[in-house]
Amino acid sequence: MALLDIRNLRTSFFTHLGEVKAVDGVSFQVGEGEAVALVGESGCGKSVTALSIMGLVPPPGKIIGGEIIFAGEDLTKLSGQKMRHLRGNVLSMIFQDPMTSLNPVLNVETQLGEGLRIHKGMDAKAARARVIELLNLVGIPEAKRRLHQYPHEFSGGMRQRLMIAMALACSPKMLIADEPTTALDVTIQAQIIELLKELKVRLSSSILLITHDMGIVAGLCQRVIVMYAGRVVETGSVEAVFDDPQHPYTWGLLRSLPRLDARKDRLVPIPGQPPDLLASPQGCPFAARCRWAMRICVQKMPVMTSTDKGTVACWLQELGPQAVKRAREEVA
Amino acid sequence: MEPVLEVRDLKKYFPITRGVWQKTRGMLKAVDGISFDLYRGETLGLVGESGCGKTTAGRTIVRLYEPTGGSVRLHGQEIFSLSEREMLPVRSQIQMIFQDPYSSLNPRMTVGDTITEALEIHGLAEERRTERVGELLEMVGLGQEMAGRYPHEFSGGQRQRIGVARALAVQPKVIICDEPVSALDVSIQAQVINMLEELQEKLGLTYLFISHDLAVVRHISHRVAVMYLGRLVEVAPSDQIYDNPLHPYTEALMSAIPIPDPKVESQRRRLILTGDVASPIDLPPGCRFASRCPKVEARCHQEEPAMVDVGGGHSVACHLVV
Repeated sequence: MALLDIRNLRTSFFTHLGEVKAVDGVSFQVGEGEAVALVGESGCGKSVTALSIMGLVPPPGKIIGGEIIFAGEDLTKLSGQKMRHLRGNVLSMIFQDPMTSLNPVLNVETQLGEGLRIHKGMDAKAARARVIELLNLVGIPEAKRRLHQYPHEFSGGMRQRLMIAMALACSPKMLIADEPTTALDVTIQAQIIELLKELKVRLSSSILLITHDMGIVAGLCQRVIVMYAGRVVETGSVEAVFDDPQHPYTWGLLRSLPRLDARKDRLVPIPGQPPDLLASPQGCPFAARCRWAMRICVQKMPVMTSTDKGTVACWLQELGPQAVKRAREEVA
Repeated sequence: MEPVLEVRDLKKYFPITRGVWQKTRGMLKAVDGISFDLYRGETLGLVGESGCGKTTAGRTIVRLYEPTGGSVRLHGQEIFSLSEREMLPVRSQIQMIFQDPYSSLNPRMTVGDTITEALEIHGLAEERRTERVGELLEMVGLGQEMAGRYPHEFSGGQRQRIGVARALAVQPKVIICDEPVSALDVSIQAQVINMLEELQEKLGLTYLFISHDLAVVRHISHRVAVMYLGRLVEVAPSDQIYDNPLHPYTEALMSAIPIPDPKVESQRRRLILTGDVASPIDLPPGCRFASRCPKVEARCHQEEPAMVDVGGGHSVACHLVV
């Protein structure tokens, strides 16, 4: 059984302009010890999905439907108190911006030890020992001296390591990392990715990595979930999604990327822009930008179908695998 | 070939002040002596990590910041000694595109007015300004009917197009693009990159393309200059710098970029840098990269390496290369 099983999750924001369907019927699973990437562009609902899992959707947002089954329990039905007991304990999250997600008036020992004292009932001495252990684990040198320092005394990369250490404090079953390296320089990003890779092997936690960077996905994850306009459009193993993508949006995403190791004459952008989530289209949300859109695409939402390597929500599948392949190669 | 823009020993220091009397306690050397040429019709990528001084360099070249030292010549004419009034015709030849399409447009002005303002300041197209605005908007892939709209009605990618139209209004020769696509999603980013390339071909523009994204820079640039803590460490033709990086910093930078291909990614070996970045306020005597360099030697801590031409348009500032 999967550790995390999300079924038809719907999260909306009720703004004065109307209902914004940020997450609109999302389903996927994350297995025990598995690293899964949730990719898509800004506004596709990937972060809101993460916040929904953590029970941290800010008002005016609200989970309005679906189930989030984590270790056999539906998180959407848990009380605030029970949820607090899970957060930072068995389920923890690393946020994008290490500057604003650490408390500036708490020193490292207090900040990282807080969860240990609350969730694990450790006394000050045990908590301190564990904090030192954690700092060593994430590669912060001179751990003992660093205990009494405050977040502002750390560099951006080191702060992100603190965040990771804090998230790992109670040995969570699942770690959600929301764009953990976006705010960092590439050389520092490389250090953090190496650290996550190493931790994945050593701690056997499941990782849900939320990112827009396909390069990071390729190096770190086993499975990919591609989101577009609040919906899952394709899922599959990393190899399948990169070598044999099925959804035209995934094709577009991969083709529009400039690559460091190859020179392309022209990038192939996706024309147009994502739909307005205040007035979601009736059919496939990608239809307006898709050069293969058929009449049915604008009329009816495609259903998620299984292929030999994953799942995809696209009407082109009805035409058979050969037609899909031909369509994909048309622009290459 | 004659360079369009010659930058020599460009310096920009910011004073660090403290206390009630704002006494100067030190200098932050954001740009500390960089030199390069920009040739007609080419794109020179200027890359580096945050705080390396790449943006300051771009802004100092167009004198948005007053330079601390050095010289910049446009078509042979020195521009740092010009008065503000004499700068005006120069500014119509060098324009700038900014990173953040949200804060670089005046929210209270229609797009048409924003572009017209540029034409007015430079006294251009007095008779047919509306037509010219329409032409410019068409040129960047927006319709002329959009001239009456306000910035908030546009998406990020469209706003960046407006920024480009505003820059093109005065028919510049050189455009300094400061992280023009960093704030955009990849599918939109590709649209803007393609547009910049097409405009370059059509209008014979020269770009200084400032970015931290090496994959984008490789795609768009003919030559690449790598900057570290206020200095250039390596300049080379784009393919050269990726296939044969000579400076250890360039090498580390290249190996740090993730490649969107699981097969390639699993084969790669990363060069992970350790050590802290030196402070631009209190620079060490030797090479600025010495504190993080995996190949560091004793002399690197004593002498600062000079830029050396190794042939084929490739130059590098490292003791170990020569």
